[in-house]
Amino acid sequence: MNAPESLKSLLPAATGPFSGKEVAHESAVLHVSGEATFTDDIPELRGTLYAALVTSPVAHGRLTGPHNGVDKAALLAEHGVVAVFTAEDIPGENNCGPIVHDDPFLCPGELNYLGQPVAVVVAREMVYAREAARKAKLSIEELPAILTIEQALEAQSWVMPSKTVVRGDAAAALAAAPHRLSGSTRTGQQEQFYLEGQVSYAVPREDGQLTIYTSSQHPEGNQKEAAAALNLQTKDVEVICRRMGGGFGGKEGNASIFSQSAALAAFLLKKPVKLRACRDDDMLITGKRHDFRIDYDVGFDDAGRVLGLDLMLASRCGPTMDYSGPVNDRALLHIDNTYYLPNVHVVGHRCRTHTQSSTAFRGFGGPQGMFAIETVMDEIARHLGKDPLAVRRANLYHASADPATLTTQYGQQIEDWVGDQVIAEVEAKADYAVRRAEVAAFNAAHKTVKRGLALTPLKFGISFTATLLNQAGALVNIFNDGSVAVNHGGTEMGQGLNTKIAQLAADELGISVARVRVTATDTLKVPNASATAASSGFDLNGAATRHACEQLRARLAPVAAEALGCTAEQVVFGGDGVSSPTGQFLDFKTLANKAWAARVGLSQTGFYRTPEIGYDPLKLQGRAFYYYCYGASVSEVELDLLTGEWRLLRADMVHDVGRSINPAIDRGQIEGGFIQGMGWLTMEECLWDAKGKLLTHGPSTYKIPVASDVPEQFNVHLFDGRNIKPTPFNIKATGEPPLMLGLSVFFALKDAVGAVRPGPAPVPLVSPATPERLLLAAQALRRA
Amino acid sequence: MSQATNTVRVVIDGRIIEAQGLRRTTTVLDFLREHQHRSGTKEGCAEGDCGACTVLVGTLNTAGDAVDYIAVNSCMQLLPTLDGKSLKTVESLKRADGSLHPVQQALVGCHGTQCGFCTPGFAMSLAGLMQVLPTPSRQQVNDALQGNLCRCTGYRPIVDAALEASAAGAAALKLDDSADLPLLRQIRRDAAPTYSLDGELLVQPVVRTRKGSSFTSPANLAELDKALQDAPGATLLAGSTEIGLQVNKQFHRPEHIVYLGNVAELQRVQTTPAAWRVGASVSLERVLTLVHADWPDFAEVLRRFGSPPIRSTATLAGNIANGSPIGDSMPCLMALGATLVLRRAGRTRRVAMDAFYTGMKAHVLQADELIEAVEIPRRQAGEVFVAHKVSKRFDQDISAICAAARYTLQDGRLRGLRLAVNGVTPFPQRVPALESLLEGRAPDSITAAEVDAVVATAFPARDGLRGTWAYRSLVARNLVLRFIGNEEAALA
Repeated sequence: MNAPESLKSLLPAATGPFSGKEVAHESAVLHVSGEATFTDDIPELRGTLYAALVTSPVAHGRLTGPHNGVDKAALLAEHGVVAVFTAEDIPGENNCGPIVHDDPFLCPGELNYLGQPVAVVVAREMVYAREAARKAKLSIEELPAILTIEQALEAQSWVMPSKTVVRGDAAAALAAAPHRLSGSTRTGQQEQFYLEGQVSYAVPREDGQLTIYTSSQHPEGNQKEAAAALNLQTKDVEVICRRMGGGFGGKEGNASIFSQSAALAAFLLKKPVKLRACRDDDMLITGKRHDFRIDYDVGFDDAGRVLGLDLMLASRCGPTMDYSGPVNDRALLHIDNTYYLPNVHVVGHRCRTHTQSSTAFRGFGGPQGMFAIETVMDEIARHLGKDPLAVRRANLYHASADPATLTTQYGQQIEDWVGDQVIAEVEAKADYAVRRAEVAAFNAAHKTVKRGLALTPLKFGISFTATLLNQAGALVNIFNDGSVAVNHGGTEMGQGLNTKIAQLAADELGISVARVRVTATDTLKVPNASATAASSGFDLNGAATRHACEQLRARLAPVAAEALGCTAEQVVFGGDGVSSPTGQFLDFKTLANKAWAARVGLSQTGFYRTPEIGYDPLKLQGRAFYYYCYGASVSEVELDLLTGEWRLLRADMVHDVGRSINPAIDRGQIEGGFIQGMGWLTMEECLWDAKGKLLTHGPSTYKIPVASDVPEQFNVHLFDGRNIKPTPFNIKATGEPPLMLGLSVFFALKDAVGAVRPGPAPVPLVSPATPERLLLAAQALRRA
Repeated sequence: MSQATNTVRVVIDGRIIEAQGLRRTTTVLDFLREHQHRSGTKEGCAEGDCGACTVLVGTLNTAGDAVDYIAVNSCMQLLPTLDGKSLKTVESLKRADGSLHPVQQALVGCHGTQCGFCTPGFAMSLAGLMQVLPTPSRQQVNDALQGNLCRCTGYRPIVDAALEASAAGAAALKLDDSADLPLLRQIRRDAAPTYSLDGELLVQPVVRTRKGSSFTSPANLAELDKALQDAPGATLLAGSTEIGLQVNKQFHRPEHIVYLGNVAELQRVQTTPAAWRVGASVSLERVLTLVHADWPDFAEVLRRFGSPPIRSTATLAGNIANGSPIGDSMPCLMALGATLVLRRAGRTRRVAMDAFYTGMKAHVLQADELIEAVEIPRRQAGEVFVAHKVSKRFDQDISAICAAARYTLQDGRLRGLRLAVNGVTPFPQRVPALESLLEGRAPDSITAAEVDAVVATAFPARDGLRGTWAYRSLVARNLVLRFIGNEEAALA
């Protein structure tokens, strides 16, 4: 099928004055004045106690002796300590696993990673709790640990069965291909490094109820897990999250580790308990982005077209399933990126290791899958002596007589293909061809510094791959003074979700955003909400909010009609009120009051479920995604061949956000995603010692980008696109996809290293491309 | 005034706050959040690396008519060091009429906040920068933000906001401290020593706890000598960038703390044509400014030493005394031929910087001896000084390796060469084997293989957190060749 030439004709006109506007973040003024209340800033109730976690000092072992191996008496004797709880004290289910209940939040016996929580120490002051926890004595029988992907592959240590995606006959195509290359590469872990650490504040209420204030992307998960742990019903636990100081996936499942412990202590002590992990504990306890080993065997023609591809992806999952299943699925579903792969065989192994259980992180396996195929493209180009962009272009999905050329390896038809347009646009805007020549000239003239240039594209599928999660609810309340409170199941972590929802609700009701407050996420207002994840926050919760507003409009229209002297169908919502065809106007405050007086219901829930999607999660076949996002970026770097230090000289990107409901917020997601992706592939490096201790557990050793790492020439363009699907305002999701724009930095660095020795020899660079890896790769290539 | 008090007096937004009965090791951040309920200042890491806790500390200037501010990481500063000073936090920025400070306004206007957790720290770093530099360049803004991490925005809108705010002009950017000034004058301590009626020297203030532990803040060397005599083995506190970490991470609570930050003589810099004598309490930021013209490479190493909040409190002497194997200033000081003035019980002695360390974290300091000053030679005609630090991230990261060399080139040959490194040795030290390899040679006659051979034997092979031996030794060799102007030999 052909990609639509103009999507605009398919779309309705803009719905109102706020959609599409660069409205400031709804909390911006509160942020800059320090008045924005984060969980740790909530005024504490009288009698509040503080908790800290005792964690495992070994990667693998068994707790021995009474009280789950914890010397409780010794801990209780420490200054200021009030109580100590271990697994034996949990009245109900000991679990914080988000999908499979295989993850106890306090270790009952077998220790599976260094940093695993074993006990909760509660004290009068935070410092006492932390100091006591540090002194805790544990009885442990140490066991041999599996720490690396290689050890796990050797031992066939899986956290769940491997999966395979097959299309065509890869083996035959490989055997027949004119050229063939094989190799191995890897991607590193990445710490989410939300600036606000994990924190939960649990407050007991009457009749055994509990309120938990928490920094969590999935309050509903925290609610249900706390209820299960304490033998309560879901209705008895209220979880509230006004905002997070960043999440990035790290507060999706992992927030439970902390909310569960705080809930347990508060419930048993009948006192408010706050658990705020210090940064070291946070990094030692929580999961990171999965690192992957990628082995490839590719056959291709003279133009660089991939004829057959055999791939092995192996990820380090840690000891429990967490989100490892869908993360690895998503990697397999994204190994095509923007490319048509006619014959492909991909196997994904989910390695069980004694390290932090790897968890969600922006991109959720997609970046790792894309890294695999981009490495293949890069190596093909080098082998053939071609510009990598030419090889990438030769492999793109494209419309043709054969529908397969726009069909993914998992059998989904791509209906909204604009990848080629996005690439062409960034190529032109970045002046790629001219700069390719300039880089070559620079490299010819310089021995000890080299420049590199790369253009990488992205295509990212939007929807939870677990189909059932693609649903959302909202509750919209109109008060009789005309103000409006919008509640939805999503959470605000900085991505601007609540701002976009406010814009949408204002336009749906034809009112000013000043009338709208999007309230804190509260599990007793909107039930059964999915995590705010998979970039779906606005798609799902926005649609649910729209649904509620539509119903309210339908109820308000007759009231308005009566006042305006027209029919309900003629009433136009807008301008902060309603008007009739003859120009009669009624302001919204009066309308709301009239509706109230007429006893019209002013509170309405909305619901949404994503249509069309559905696929076989075991065979990874079918319609996994509602639609795709596209983007492409060009990076140019300069590398010092004496030290491995480098600078990003310029970055250009074009990104498809559909029709943007707030270009400023979308641009923020793109810029932030690019820099975060760059960090993942370059300076951010998790290091362990031989015993499985994470050594990089604070910002002094784990380095995320700073302001000076951002290039002065940092050009971001929104692609003039539209979502062909009827998402609210025809937006496309912007949370995760831009992270993968950062791939161009890595491949530009690889290009610079390759300039050391032009020719077909592969560039032995894996990620993260630290100065050390860059220098040693250049050294190895020179000597190859 | 009494000889001992447990009250710390600090001015916050036009009020004198008397902090009483708190642990001496209470951090400024905990004081603000837990005791003053000013929760705008955030804890991101409690190790001085993320900047979410950035606040401004104000000191009355010598004339007593204005306040000088420095940005600090409140997570690492101990409350008693604030005595006699003022504090500005994010809550201080709004004007009395409720309007936003230009920095705040620009952060809103440029969409410089997403999750907002790092924002107060950014606002304070930028507001602090613009007290002294109302129209900074992009580079100066980046430098001021070295110690502020943001995980959401990618920084571009924040830097844009800084440049936009600077258009408001110095007057609009200036913090309103008119109400603080008289109060700061009121709580100012006299610079001269105080004696009791019977002639006994009084050291003020002394914060004592019920357990008998103390925090003493002497005002001059005589008081300092006495404080150390009274509390032998006391922990010396200067910039608090190391001790603050020990307090936060190891729950370290030294019995007696003697604070060097108010000792007048230690805050001085004496300049002669031959050298600078830098007092032990002089901040790295001041040293950076001092050496910038003579030794730009040293200044660049210092610029990348840490963030402005670290550099504004941390000291050269503290860096030296701490003796970290990867301390950044030491290779520079050793190559420059710096000398340390050590003080003990009123007596001083001089020790060459390159003779100070005797092993890893071991040095020649005796019990209750301290570094009083660092003497740094100034540039003489014909001298070349080169230094470079390599780290995983360019700014505000710990060295994988730092190296420095000083020499003159006479008739095309290297003379008087001094070369020092960290990262490849257990502690920062000169490398005599490399010095003798290079001495008297023409730079272009030196080959990579020659340097490699010396590197292989001179440095103990050891992989570390900051880099493998293979990498560090390769960089060490390359830097040596680059330092002497023969970098292409590295790729031969």
